[in-house]
Amino acid sequence: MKNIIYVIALAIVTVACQPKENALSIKDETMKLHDLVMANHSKIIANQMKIDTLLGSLSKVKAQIPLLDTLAEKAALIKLRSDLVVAEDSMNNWMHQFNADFNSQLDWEVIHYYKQERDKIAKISELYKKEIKQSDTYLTKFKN
Amino acid sequence: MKPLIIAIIILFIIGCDGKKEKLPYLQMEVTQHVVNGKIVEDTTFRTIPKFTLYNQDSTIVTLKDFDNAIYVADFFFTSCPTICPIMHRNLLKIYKKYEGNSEVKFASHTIDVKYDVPSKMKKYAKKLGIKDTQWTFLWGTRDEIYTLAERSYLVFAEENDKAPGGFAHQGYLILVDKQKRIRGAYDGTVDKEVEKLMSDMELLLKEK
Repeated sequence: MKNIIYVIALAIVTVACQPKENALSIKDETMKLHDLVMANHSKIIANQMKIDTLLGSLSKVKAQIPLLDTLAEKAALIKLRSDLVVAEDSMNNWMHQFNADFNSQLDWEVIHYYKQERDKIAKISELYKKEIKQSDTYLTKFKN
Repeated sequence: MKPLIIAIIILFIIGCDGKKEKLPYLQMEVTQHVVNGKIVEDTTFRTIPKFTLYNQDSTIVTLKDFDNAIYVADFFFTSCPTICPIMHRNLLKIYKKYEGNSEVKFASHTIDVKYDVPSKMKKYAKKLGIKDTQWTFLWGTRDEIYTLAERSYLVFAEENDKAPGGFAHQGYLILVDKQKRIRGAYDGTVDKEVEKLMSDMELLLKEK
């Protein structure tokens, strides 16, 4: 009889703890994605700075690359910078609204919150990769 | 016999003193010059360049404010949920140890310059328990902060390239001597590294 009670108690504890564990692992995944995006953050900023430098010295660039269409180049660089800023802002906005201590009496609410946040940061991570690749590729033509 | 033992002890003490541990210089620069047709190598120390930033009280802070002090520098942002809180919890232990010691300072630079304005950092500092500017939280323009990170404090991290482009968010604590030379870099999230930083600070304070 005692054994049965133990088994039932263990089963209850296991089942009761299950959703919390899931919430923690989803939160952990979210944090890992955050660190991954932050690892690319400096690159997003560095490319913005490179573009700003180029925009401020287009006449010098023109002297080095005579075939360059200055106005077209300016427009392309501004668009590129704007895309990088959109990516950066999306990360900043996510960080400022993210609640790392979110809690609720209802386990499903906790899981739902972190799942939502994980999906948001996953999208931002992809956006970062895309913008970095795009700007890196574009900026290679200005390398000496 | 006794004088011989005393002589050996004295020699031992002198010998040990001569081998006093000295911290390395992380950014030595070797440049080559041609003098009278011969190539001559010149070794210099890279130092932290002049800067003008604002602290948590919106007061201007320059490199001069770190004169006659060793200091620990880092890069962070107030809304960081992972690395920065651990790094600053560890740095707080060091701050507590040296609280009130004018020879030791702390400089945390925000990399989220759009959001972490001085008033935000004031709240952050208060929450951490920092009442004065011995630990200063620095704000500047994007270009100022990232240039300082990339070209001065964290050059070694970028050279190591463990996490391409992510050097500003790796939790490094940088130890700078009184001559503004970088003497050590430590992972602020690892207890052993933080302990090493603390013992290295003691060494650096004794350095003349």
